[in-house]
Amino acid sequence: LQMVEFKWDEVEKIYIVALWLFAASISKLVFHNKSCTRFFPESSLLIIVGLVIGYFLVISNVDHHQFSLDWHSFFLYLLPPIIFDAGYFMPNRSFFQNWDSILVFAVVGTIFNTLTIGGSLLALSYSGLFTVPFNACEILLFSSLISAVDPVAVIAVFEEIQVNDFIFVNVFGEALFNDGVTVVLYELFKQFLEVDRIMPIDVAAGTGSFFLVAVGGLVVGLLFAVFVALLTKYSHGAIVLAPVFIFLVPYLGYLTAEALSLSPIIAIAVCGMAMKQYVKGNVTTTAANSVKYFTKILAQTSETAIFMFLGLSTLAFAHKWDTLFVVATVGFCILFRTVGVVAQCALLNRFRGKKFTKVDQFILSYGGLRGAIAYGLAVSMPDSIAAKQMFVTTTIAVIFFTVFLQGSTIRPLVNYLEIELKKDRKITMAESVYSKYSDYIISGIEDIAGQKGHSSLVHDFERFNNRVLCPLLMRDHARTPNFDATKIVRAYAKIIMDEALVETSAPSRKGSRKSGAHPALGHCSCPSTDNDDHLPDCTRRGVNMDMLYAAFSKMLDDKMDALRQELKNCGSSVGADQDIFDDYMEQLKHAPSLKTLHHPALSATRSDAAMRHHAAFAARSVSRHDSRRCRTEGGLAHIATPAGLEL
Amino acid sequence: MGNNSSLMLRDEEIDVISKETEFNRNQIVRLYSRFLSLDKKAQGFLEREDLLNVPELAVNPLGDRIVDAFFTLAGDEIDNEKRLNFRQFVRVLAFFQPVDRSKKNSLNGRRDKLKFAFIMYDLNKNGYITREEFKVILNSMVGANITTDQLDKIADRTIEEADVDHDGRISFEEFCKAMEKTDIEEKMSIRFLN
Repeated sequence: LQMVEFKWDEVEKIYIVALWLFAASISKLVFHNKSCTRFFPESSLLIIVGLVIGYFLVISNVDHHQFSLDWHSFFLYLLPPIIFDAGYFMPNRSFFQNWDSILVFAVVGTIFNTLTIGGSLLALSYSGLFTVPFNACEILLFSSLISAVDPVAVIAVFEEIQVNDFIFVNVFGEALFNDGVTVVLYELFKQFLEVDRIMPIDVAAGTGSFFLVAVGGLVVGLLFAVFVALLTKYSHGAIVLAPVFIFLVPYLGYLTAEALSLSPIIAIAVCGMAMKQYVKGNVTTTAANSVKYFTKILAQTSETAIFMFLGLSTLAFAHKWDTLFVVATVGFCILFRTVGVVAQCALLNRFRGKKFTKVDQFILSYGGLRGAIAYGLAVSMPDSIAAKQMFVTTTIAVIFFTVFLQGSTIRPLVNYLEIELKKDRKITMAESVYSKYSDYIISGIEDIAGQKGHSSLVHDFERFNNRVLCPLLMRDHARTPNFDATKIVRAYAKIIMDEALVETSAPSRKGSRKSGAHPALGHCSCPSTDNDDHLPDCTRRGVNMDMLYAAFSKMLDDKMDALRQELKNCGSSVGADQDIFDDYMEQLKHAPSLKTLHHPALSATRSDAAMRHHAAFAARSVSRHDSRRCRTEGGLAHIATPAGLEL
Repeated sequence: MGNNSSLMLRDEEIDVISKETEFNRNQIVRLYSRFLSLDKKAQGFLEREDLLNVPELAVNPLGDRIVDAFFTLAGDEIDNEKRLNFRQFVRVLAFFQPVDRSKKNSLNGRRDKLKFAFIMYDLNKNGYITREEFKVILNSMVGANITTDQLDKIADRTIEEADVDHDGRISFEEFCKAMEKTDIEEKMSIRFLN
């Protein structure tokens, strides 16, 4: 009788998957070291890791099916979290200000690139210089997948270099929405392959299907966003359940769109973008934060895995290298992208307020990175195509080229061209008020001048949002004809918080008003210490510590009052369920089942206990947060925000 | 010129206005037809009610302040009633043209846009924004959504941030300084249609 068995077969598959994810994450940890990423973006380093590991596996004669990524799993498991993360964290305001350019780039740009790259390669093929022949449909199929800018690659590279929102939102928006076009073109040409003759009706059907796919994806995304909002609105009894819906429902949307042959990428991205506002208003801060973190975790893991597998799969595939074809493809890709971007920007600049400068255009064309999606599509090409191997090899070559060369040179270029980086400076109160204020002014002026401009459209939507959508989709939202003040109030709370943190981390300066040198230069943990703005900011608020503590205890009292109020209104069960307790013993103590036993006289003590626990928890978070940077997250936000505010 | 009830716009007038405001011909003609449609009583000038009658303006929380600013900046006061003729109408709108850095435009520079915003805040037109005036504006924008306490705090905070000389009120210079990092040129610009 065996005491210990080695049950490898049972766990083999999942063990390997877990091992890969582990290896990927370890590599990423290693690369987080700044000296590595100075030259190469993380994505390229991950590909290298994949290549290295793959090489060893190939040498040791491991069957490559063991470790090559099934592209089915790629599209269904690895891609959705990344796109969802992108949609959820999309800067909505910048996005809507640039929707025209994003749409033009995504649609016109992709179609232009497909036709020109395909056409040029076809023309070149007539010279008979390529090793494998192909016909028009086949090359157009290839060019449709190679001309799409890849959102995963774009995020991976641009997130590191942190360009300003304007450029990012344009490149990224294009990458996201050109999926609609790519999918249509790809399917279209795939179908044309089977058909002998292409009739005009087919082309018309193709154009029609583009609208169907893109708009359909959009509609699916919006529908599922509404589902999520409604679900979170009515799920406040079970706090832990809400985040589950937040992840599950968009994923269902993705799968639904895929099932209906609509664009799943557009669906899940739109879902993420649309639902953010309502979901944030419906769940607690802690839940919202956990959603935020978990989304990031999933997305990072997927991204890491994708790039590593890209490296691995390179070696798993039987390649056909045709130098001329590769060089021609890469060359045409770069050429036509640049031409396309310049032409489109010239067109757009005639109608836009904020124009694309030459530098902007350069970065836009340079940032057209190809990535794993192209590879996935290439590999799933029908095997009947003779040139498939050549196409796949070329796709890999293009991806490597863009990720390695363009990805690594983009940071020095950005610095050299002095592109505006994302400003991390603290926004002043005046600015956040003014932002809203100027929207109203412009909207009013547009009304007087009798033209429907961008501002009035935004204004109309906001009114619609406040009047119809928010009450419908958000819990406890007062029907407000005027605008939603929460942004301003949030900005105010954030500013106060940041300052309070600054004060508490600086050593006490009793009553020193405007002392000359910044007293805590070494100790102040403000992120922008070397910024000139910081100095006058910090010294101006030379309040003594007693006043600060008084302010803090007042805020704490306010919060206690608010909690008491909430408990009175909603019944004590809500108070106890506010937190996930640290261990099961605590949880049992406050379990709902005990509540049914309690005596009305005991209810006061129960809610007090719950409150005390909550306060203790929050207090613990304060001390934890003191030593951290000046950011407001988690527990501290609970303490210091006056009733009804959410950061 | 253009002050009396002349309802037809002469070519010379268009040219003069064009030179003054950098609007092109088509834009001016378009604005003129808008002016006429606003001027329901066909008086040749606009009064406060005419502008306030614009339906979308009624739901704009800053609607009456915008109208007020229009008249302050460019109106004539005749018989205690503020009047706005076409030329003045266009002049005010010219403030909101996009800033074209190549053209040396006098009417829509950064300061002028800020001036418009400042005038709207400054209710009693004494050249300073006080805490109370700011509270009024904030209240009309935000009003029902926050408590008076929060309103006070926000107003206090905003004034304090901008009030460099600590006189408890904000002058135009202080206002400009507080806004120096904001992208005014873009926020306060409208593309006028041809």
